[in-house]
Parts: sequence; structure tokens; C-alpha cells
Amino acid sequence: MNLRLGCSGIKEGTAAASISLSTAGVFAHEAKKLYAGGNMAYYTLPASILISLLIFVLLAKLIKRSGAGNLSELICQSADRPTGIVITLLLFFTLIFSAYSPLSQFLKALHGLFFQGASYSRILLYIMAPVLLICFLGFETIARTAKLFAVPLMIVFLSVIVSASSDFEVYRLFPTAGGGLKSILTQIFREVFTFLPAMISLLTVSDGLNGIDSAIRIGAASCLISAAVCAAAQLAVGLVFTYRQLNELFMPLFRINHLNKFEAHLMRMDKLANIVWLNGAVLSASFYLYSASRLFAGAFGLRDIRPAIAASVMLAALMLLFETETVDNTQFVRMSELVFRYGTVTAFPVLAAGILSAVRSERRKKCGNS
Amino acid sequence: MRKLVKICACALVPFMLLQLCACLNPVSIDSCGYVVAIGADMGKEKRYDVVLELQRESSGDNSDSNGGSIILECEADNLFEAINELDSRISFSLNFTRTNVFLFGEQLAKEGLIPDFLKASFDVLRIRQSALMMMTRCSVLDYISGIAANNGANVSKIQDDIISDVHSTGEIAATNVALFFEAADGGWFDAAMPVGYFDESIITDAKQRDNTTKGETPIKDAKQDAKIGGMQGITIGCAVFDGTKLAAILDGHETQFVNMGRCDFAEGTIDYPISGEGTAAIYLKLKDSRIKVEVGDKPRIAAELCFNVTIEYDPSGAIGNDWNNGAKELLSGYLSTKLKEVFEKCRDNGSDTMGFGRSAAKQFFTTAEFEPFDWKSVYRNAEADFSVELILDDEYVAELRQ
Repeated sequence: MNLRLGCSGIKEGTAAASISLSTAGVFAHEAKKLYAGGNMAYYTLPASILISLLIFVLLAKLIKRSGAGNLSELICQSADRPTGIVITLLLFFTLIFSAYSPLSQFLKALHGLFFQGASYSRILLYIMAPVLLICFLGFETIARTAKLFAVPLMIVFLSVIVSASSDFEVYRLFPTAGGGLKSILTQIFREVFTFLPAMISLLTVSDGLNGIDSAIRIGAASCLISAAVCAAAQLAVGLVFTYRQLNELFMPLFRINHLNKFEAHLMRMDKLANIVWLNGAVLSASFYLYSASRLFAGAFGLRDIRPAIAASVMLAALMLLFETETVDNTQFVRMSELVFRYGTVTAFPVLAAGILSAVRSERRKKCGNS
Repeated sequence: MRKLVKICACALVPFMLLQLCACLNPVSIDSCGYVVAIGADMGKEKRYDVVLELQRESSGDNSDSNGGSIILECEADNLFEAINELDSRISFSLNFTRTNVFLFGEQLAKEGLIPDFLKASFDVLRIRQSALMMMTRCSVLDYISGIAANNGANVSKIQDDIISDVHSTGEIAATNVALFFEAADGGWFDAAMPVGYFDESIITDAKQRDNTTKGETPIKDAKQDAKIGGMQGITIGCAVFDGTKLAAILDGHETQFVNMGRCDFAEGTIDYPISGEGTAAIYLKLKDSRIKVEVGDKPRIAAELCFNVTIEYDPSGAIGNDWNNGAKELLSGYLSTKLKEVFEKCRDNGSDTMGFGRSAAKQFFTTAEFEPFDWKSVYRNAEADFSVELILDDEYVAELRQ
């Protein structure tokens, strides 16, 4: 078997999951949807993360109950082979789209803000090459690289927020309740699907994290870290831009220092910050793509994960190229949005499968005892 | 095979690095003209008269060249048309990454054409929206010539100069492109931008022969009323806006009170008239501020400001000595009255440049309440009460002339 899983500790796993969750919460949103009814993101996103943590813990407990090592095994145990393959493929494409989404945002930002003369495909070369390399080296490499980058990412993130703090105005957060309780709850539940792919990825590699108990601890820690990061980022963005401005801004955190009235040296570090954040997106995409490949390899019984990784990375790269280089990509963008937003609804069939598997396992144990 | 892959990978790394550090496609600093200021006036034949001020880099080889600026001007219907025309006149390409000031003529500001002129892609030009905005009472070309005439002046410092004046004197109110559009689109406050003037009676530089004097020694030959030294382009006071249109122009003294009302007044010296004794110089430093707004058809604004006071010059000698015997109340009353006067001047011109709408906005919690409310329509009926608390710093300085 050449699944390139390796063995990662709690710190490494937490770094990988936190970076993926934070990247999804901070960069992978469409402003027009997130801020349409007012800026509530600084409290709805942490709430969504906590709900996705509950689903994650439930799934993890089911995996433990059923005696499976990871999510892929749980799916294989609980359902017959065709159903298992269907569920796996749904999750596979959801994870590919989850990898594609932040990369797509970064690609557009790099093209629009920094490398206007360069074509998308050229910029993509620099992004996808490290993704492919890290994925090929396996999950342990992803997790260890994530641990290496976690501190610089956090330092840059905090320094960017601190440097913009002179422009914070509390009035910009109003109306704080947006469209009212209904819109708050809708946003909380809709955004759960932004964070579930990272949690599902964590469950897919749980056997490389020293067991399911360790994976639960990693999930809880990374959810708490990411909830804090998302709350801080969205609050900072909300204190600098009104929700009407946010509706029109592309990746507002990229511009948080563009608007400062009184410029200082820190204001000019935004390009450096963006390159550091790009590393976060690359790691996040690698994590998703590796997990997708792992699911695929599990469902189809592949003994070597590398062909699946190559296919996943190629698929993500083609999607990025298709979105940016084709003349009419509206249908594709609409479809990708739909899959990214609601693809992890597949978590529910997975949950059902898990429950079924746990019940079967209990029965088997009882039969064995009697 | 593995060895070949490794060799290819190793060869790819330096190739990619070379591309990243621009070694394969270098751009020399001389091949760009760095635009530091973009100005626009009303045009005669076309919509706008566009003026660009370029920073001229000093050359190390030539001792005569000590920096300064290049001014380009043309008429155009929009900024991009002007850029295309001006680009064809020069031997280098225009670069906007250092653009930090936009200047607009008074007429253009009055007609509310600023948003139309700025309807350009800032990302394409790579201009940051933190670029400051200014309005000139003279033509933009005159003002820019006035700034650039003193050849030693570093034109790239205009922005720094404005910001430092805002901090140290409060006689200038600053706004940038982002804030201007936030004010114009949101309607919860109005912008106030610095005002530029051109004073041709100023003799800019002893080395320079200009139009004012014809002789070899300009200072000696200058007329009696000439002002010696500095730039002919002067920046003081503020232009207050009602949305996107110019509403009124305030002098430096009034601007200090605008900044106090906006809670943007960090520190500065104000003139305090003493009956029969002339004018005292009082240094104020904003310590604390609290704004409360009761929203309704007739909004009630209550502003409480607290300043640290240092008496810099007092011709009567009484302010420090009688501080606790009525002088404090007199000064506090003067500041409150001036704040109210300036507020009413702005309000009557339809400008909430003190930004009380920002406090009003905090009373709306849902978009259903927030969206339909039009602050500017009720603001014209607003009444404001200012109360000023003063804390005397360094009492011995005030009393004993030390």
C-alpha cells in the first residue's frame, strides 16, 4: 500500500485543519452573498464552525463505534458497494470544489492586484506546482508544512489587523442584526457547509492522526482557533468597511490596508501578506485534494494513491483554467458555487450510513457475546 | 529515470525563481514616470482639464539635477483618455503606483463631478484608495506649479505634509478616496478635504528666476509686499461637501473646530481673542470625546469634548492666573460657541462634515430600520449642544512665564 498517510501529531493535524477552516472562513466567500443583508459574518461564521464541530464529533463517534479507522472505511462498512461509491464520489467532488474555491479567489486576486500583465495560466503554474508536490509527498508532509507556516500566517494576519486598527469605526458594524433573526439563522446554517469539507477531510485522514480520539481533539482545537480567526478577520473587515461597501469588494481582507487615511510603513506590507496567505490557500487545497484522493482510493481499492492525487490536482487545475480562461463561464461558476455551498449535504447520507454501521457493529458484538 | 526527473526539477527551480524576481524581463526605474498627483479642472473643449505631476528622480551624475517635478496637462473626457494622450508625449511610460493625491478645481467640485472623474479602475492603475483628495480655489495647474516651483521641494511628500499638518495644527481636514466614497454612498457623514491656494506674491527660491522678478537676485529685486520663501501653492482650511457636491469653504481656524467636532483634532494651537488685549495662543490636545444623538425629525446632538490646555501666549497674562476664577469657563464658553457656529454653518449648507450621522447609525439594528432612514434629510433640522471640559496642563508655565 502506498497511501502516503504517515503519522502526524496533534499540533501538525491542528495546524492543517485550522489553516483549511480559516482559509474557508476568511477568503473563500463571495462578498455579495455573505454581506447582502448586513455584516453579521463576525458572529455567524464562528457559530457555523461550532455547528460543523458538532457534526464532526458525531461522525467521529460513529466511526469509533463501528470500529472503522477513518471515514472511507465507515462508508465502505455501512453501505453496499454501489451506494458507498456514490457517497464517496459526491464527497470527492465536494472536496475538489472546496480546494478549487479559495484557489480561484487567490488566482483572481493575484491577477487583478499584482500580476495584471500575466495570464491566469502562468500564475496558476506557480500555485498548482506546490499543491501537486505537497500532495504527492502525502498527508504527513501537508501537516508538517502547515505547522511550519501556522506561526508566520498568524503573525502576518495579526499585524495586518493591528496596522488597520487606526481606521476602525464602530458605526460601520451597524445594523448589527442584519436582516433579523431569520437571516442570522439562515446564514449560520448555510455557512456550515463552508466548514464541513475541512472536518470531513480530517475524518478521512483520522487513522494518520494516532486514532479517532486524537482526531476529535484536533478537530475541537482547530475549530476553536478558526472560530477566533474568522471572528477577528470579519470583525476587522466590518470595522473598516460598511456592509454596503463589503457587498462590492472582492476579498476585503486584501484591501484592509489600502484605505488607511494616515499611511505608515506597515500599510505597504499588504503584498507580502497576500503571498503569505497564498501559502495558506495552497496548504488548504493540498489537504482537501489529498483527502479527496484518499476517499477515492478507499472506495475503488487503489493500493497506490498517487494516480488519484494526480487526477485530483489536474481536475482542480482544469476547473481553475476553465473558470478563468473560457469566454462564457457563467454556468460553470454557478455550478461550482452550488456544489461548494451544498455539496457537503452529503454529510447527512454519510451520517446515516455511520449510524447504520454503528448499529450493525453493535449487533455483531452482541451476537458474538451471546 | 529518477535522476533525470531530479535534474529537470532542479533546473526548473532557478528558472521559476528568475521569473519571479523579474530577471528575465527587467524594467529599469528610468523607463517609468512616477505620477504623484492627478488633478482635474473643468475643460474648455473637453469635459476635464487633466494635470499630472510626475516626480523627477535626482540624478547622481549631474549635480544640477536635484529632483523636482514634471507637469503634464491636456484636455480629455476621462482620465484614461488623458493618460493615452500624455503617454504619447513623453519618452517613458506613466506609472501610478506612487499616486497619493487627487486635486480638483472648485467649479468641478461644485458641480459634483468628482465621482464621475474617479469612475476609473483603481486596481488597473494600481492607485491605492488611500490617496488623499484636495480642492483648489485657484486652477489645479497653478496650484501644482506653485508646489513644484520651489525646485528643491520633494513633491512626493505632499501627502505626508498634509497628514502631518492635520495632526499638528488641525487647520487642515483630510479625506481620502475611500472615505469620500463612503461618505457619498452611505450618507451618514460628509467629506471635508484640504483647500489649496496659489499666492503669486511669494518669492519661492533665491536661486530661481521666476515671473515675479526679472533680475538676477530675486529677493533683493522683489516688490515691497512680496513674501519671501516657501511654495506658492498653499494648503490650509477645508472644503466641506454635501454628498458629492462642494457645500462651503472654511478657513484654517474654522477647520480646527470641524476637526474637534469630528473628534479628529489631535492637537493644535488656536487663536483666542481677548477683548482689548489682542489674541492669545492656546494649545489644545483632545483627551476625550463623547457624542450622543437622539434620532427623530429634529435630531438632538450632545457633544462632550475634553481637552488638555497649555497657554502658549497670553497678552493679558490673566488666563493662567485666573484659571480657576472664571478664565476656564470663559475659554470653555468660547470653544463651545465656536463649535456651535461652525456646526450651524456646515448644517445650513447641508453638510454633516462633523459626522454626527455615524453616531445616529448606531441606533439601528436591522437593515429594515437602517435602509429606509435618510439621515441627511433630518440632519438639516438638527440642533447641537457642545460642552467643553478643560484641564490646565503645566500650571506653572501659565502663571510664571517659564
